[in-house]
Amino acid sequence: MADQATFERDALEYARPLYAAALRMTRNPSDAEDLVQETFLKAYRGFHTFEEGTNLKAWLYRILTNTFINNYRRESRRPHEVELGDVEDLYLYRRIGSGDSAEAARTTEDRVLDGLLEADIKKAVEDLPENFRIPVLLADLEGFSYKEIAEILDIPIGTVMSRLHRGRKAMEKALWEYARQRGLLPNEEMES
Amino acid sequence: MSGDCDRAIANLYAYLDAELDGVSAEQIRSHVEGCHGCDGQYSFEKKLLGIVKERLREDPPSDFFDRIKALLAAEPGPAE
Repeated sequence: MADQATFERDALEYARPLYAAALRMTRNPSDAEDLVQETFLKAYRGFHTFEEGTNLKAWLYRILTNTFINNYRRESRRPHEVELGDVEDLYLYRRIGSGDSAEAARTTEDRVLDGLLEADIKKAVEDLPENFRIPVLLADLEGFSYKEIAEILDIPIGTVMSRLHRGRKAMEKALWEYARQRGLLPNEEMES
Repeated sequence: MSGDCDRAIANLYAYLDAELDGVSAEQIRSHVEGCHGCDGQYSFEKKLLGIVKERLREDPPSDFFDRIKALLAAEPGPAE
């Protein structure tokens, strides 16, 4: 029976992670809270359509992302169709300590990973175009499988993989830039 | 850089996301373990994704849960 108590017990458990995802989508705490509240209202009103025993978490994220895409997007028309230029594999890793000894490279790696601030990571994710940002959030913040993400976003698994992988590479490129600005990289030769 | 290395790098995210089938995952794992270059890249990416996850966490305002509960309490109840 889909009553209020059942809904509260089962769904509220996901309110905290939903808020974290909402904040990275809207980039604004007050919009994020509104988005989560709206998600819960919609979910509550539609709880009778939820099939018990199926994936409640994925169902809530589907409502969250649809609500965001339909109501909260502030970017210009159809910005979710934005394309990312190609970024090479292992963008960050390959720029750390290449040419150095293995030991020096390891030290630089640790320095970069420890030195990147929460703000850097948040900004690198928030700056991704929406069609890449949402799969990255669903995978890297929430740990959804490719199949779950495909269902949440209603796109083919191949598209999930391509957007997630390219989104991560673009995020690494941004992180490299922040690491450089923070002086975490070894003195580099000027790139020609 | 061998063909095995190319394959390991091409499958890096799928491997770290646990999306490969058992046989492919095992082949990659055994190559990466024995390959210094690939091992370094895999460890780095794994650490990076861990840090991303950790640093993206966010706590909602303290009265956030109460506000959701109040909102739901004001609803007539789910449609049957």
